[in-house]
Order: sequence, then structure tokens, then C-alpha cells
Amino acid sequence: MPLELEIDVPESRQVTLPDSVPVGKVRLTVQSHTDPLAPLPHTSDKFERERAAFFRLLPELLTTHRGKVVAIHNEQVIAVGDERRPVIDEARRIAGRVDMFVETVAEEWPVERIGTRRVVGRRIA
Amino acid sequence: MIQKRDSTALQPAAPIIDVLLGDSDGQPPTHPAVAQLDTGADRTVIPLDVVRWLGLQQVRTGQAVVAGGGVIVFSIYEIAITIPGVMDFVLEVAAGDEPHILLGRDVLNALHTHLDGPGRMLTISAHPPAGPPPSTGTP
Repeated sequence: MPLELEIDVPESRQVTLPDSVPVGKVRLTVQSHTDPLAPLPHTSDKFERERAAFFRLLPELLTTHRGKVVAIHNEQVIAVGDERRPVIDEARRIAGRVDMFVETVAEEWPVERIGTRRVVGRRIA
Repeated sequence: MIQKRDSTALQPAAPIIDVLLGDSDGQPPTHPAVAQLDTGADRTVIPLDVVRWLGLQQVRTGQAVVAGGGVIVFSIYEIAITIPGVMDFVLEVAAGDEPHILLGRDVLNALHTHLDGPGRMLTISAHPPAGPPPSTGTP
């Protein structure tokens, strides 16, 4: 019978499983609460749609545009380039000044340091 | 050109400068605001009210470790910021509940700044100041 646990994983990554876990070969699935698609406060529906489209298209984009900056509008790629500024300009020439999602095609993105804890966002970890 | 600013508007005194804000639509920014320097921040943070007020466009999201620990996902908006007489910027910024703009190193790394703490004076310029550095007083 599947056993579902919620535990805090320490820096050492070493955890102790409860006695109810059988000895022997088991399959462990780890699921973190980090969800890049968790809804954000104060965002527009259009922005959330474009953001969702980016992550939906990401597996394909990684094979075709890895490392490039893409602009998503109406859930489609409308501009591609090496630098953010020209891509944003091109996307706005096509779509106008609307909320869109412009991001580098990658598997992970840098985590920044921001001094204030009062940035409006969603805590994920 | 330089801007000198008395830093006593906040208590305790803090390094602040006058800026002009606007949408990044190519028009010169015209909305006056006060910005505090934040050397510990990778990115500039603006009050959420400014986002609404200027109708700024969201362009992407970022992830950040915030003071006190924890990771957040946040929206990133594009804004034009002018430091009058010093430099113009088009930036991708975060929005926060802070009452002031917090200028991060995305701005500060382009500038020469001198904070005279005892004199409560911040001097900021686009070019290195001529002559010897100002006296820093007794450590």
C-alpha cells in the first residue's frame, strides 16, 4: 500500500524513514513544493496564460531554441533572439504594448538575492 | 553631472536620491519619486502602487532568496527610471510592498556613489569624480 509522507529534507539530504516502511527494495518518489507555475498575486490573466504556455512549450523549445530568448503572445512564440531587449522590441512591434512572457529557453534560471522580504510574490520554498 | 541628496528624509538616515519614473514606451519619465539605494539587492524593487499607477507591463517572472530565508517567485515589470542629470535606465524590476523604490545593483553598478554617513549626504554620478576622494573623517 503506498505510503505518503511530508518531511523537511535537511542540508545533508539524509532522512530517517518511519518503521512502517518495509525493509527491502522500495520505490521512492520525491515531490517538492517548488512550482514555477503557482499563481502569482497581482498578475493579469493574459500574463498567466502566456507564462503557462511558455512552460507547456518548453520541452519542444529546448530542442529548437535552447539558450535563446523567446517572447510568448497568444500562447505562441512571436519573437526569438539572443538578447532580451531586441526580442521585447520585436514582440511589441508585432503585438503592441501588452502583457507577454519573455524568457530564456533553459532548464533552470538563476535565483536572485533581493534585500527586502516585502517583494510581492509567492513563496515556494 | 552629479546629484547630491540629503539623506535625512528617512530615520535613521538612509541613502536616497530623486528619480523620475515612466513607462518604457520611449517617452521621457516624468513622475517624481524618491529611491533608496540597496547594495544588497541584485534587482531594483518598486512599490506595487507604481506598477498600477503607470500601468507597467509584466514581462516575465523571477525567483529570489529574500531576507530572512525562503524562495519566492515574483513578477517582473519593465520601467524607465531617470536619475536627473545622471543617467537613464530601462529596467526589469520586481514589485514590492515597500513605500520607496529600492535601487539594486542593476542600477548601482553603472554609477559612482559616495555616501558621507556622518554628513548625511549621498553623491551620485555617472563618471568618476575629479580630484581626490572626499574625506571620510576619522574611522
